[in-house]
Amino acid sequence: MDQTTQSTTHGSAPTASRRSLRQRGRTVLRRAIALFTLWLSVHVAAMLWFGLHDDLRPADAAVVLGNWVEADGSPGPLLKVRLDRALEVYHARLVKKFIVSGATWGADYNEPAAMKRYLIANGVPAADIIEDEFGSNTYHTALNARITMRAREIETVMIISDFYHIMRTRLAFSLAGIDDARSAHSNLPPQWGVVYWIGRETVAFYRYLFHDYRAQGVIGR
Amino acid sequence: MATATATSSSVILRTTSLHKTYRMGGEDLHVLRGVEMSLQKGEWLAVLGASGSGKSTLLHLLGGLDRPDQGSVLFGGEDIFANGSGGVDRYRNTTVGFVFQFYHLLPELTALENVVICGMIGNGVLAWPGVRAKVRARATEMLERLGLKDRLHHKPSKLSGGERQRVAIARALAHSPALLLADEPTGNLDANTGGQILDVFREFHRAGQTIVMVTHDARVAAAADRRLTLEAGRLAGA
Repeated sequence: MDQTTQSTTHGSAPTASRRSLRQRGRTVLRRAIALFTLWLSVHVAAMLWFGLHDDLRPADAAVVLGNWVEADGSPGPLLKVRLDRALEVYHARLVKKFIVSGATWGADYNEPAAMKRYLIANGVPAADIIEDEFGSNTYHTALNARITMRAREIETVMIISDFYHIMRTRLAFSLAGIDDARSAHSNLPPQWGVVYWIGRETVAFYRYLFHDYRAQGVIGR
Repeated sequence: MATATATSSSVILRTTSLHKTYRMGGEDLHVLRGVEMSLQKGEWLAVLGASGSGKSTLLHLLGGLDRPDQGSVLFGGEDIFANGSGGVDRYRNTTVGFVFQFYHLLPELTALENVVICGMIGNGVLAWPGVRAKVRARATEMLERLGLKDRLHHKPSKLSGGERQRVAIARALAHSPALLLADEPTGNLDANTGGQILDVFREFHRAGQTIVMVTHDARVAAAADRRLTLEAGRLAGA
């Protein structure tokens, strides 16, 4: 009997300890998940606030960030809604010029050229469109915009992009030394891809926040 | 001779041998090859042409949105490109009104605000208090004339396609431009609504508005006084 009791006591001590550890582990995990969810909610709320609250004070130029261009040279659907938003602020005379910034690959793929063609076709003078062919990512666009602003005596700019991209773009512009940028978001049709882009932007935002991009110096022209 | 002089003096817009080439996908596209045209004051001219024929390019050159490679655009006898970019900007902002296939109205503003905002920005912050009432009255008058009396305070999302285009026309004409340039103004509308937009053009034309309209649709072009067709980079009378 004693033996049985002893063996039970000996066997239950590590089990109870393991149970306690597991419980503590679960509590820590639950708290970590709760904290992560809270942080993610606050981050997404901030992303939505910055992205959906447009600052439509007049600016000298709009910076339109590039996106995919179709094989026939026309803007892809995401780029088209950005350009349409840019045209809305232009025809309301909120901006006077455009800096169209995007990537180029080889002789046939040129985002700024496609953006320029679309803007000209919709009533923007060619002379009022400045092409930045070195805007291969958001930070490069911001740096090149800063250089263009100095060269062309442009004092204020309005960022034109999708709502989920505005907060990171504002951060990139701030890192590049442009603190008072206005912004306007594109009228993006509802689609599931937004969930992926919000996730992607969340990761990219912290890469921008913690990586010292300024150490890379000026990229492009 | 007297007749000839009168005719010559009523020419408001003239082009001389306009050439324009674009580089697309590594190839040169010679879109305009010596376009010659003239427009009388108060005339409504339609330029017909297939997609890619260069009719929008021609309209952009007439409006000073782009520069020709060769040739000139004369408004009131003066080359619009002769006085540098400042001169073209003045011509575009004071003399020309543009209407496009798509309306590009700010969705967060009402119809009235979309028309007023151009006057607001154009006059600058300091002058705005002095001209505010006048600009607002003019915008209201234009929108009412275009049949939008009950839609002044509606946002674009609450307006039909035809109503949005009428707001865009009011915005284009609010500063009383001498020349209205329209690029496929009915291209995004059904036949019935497109007909209503042409009625609007007809009414302003009767009141003396000079209009150049480009379209691919012969039925739309039929509303104009005169039609020219752009083919192989040159204009031919229809």
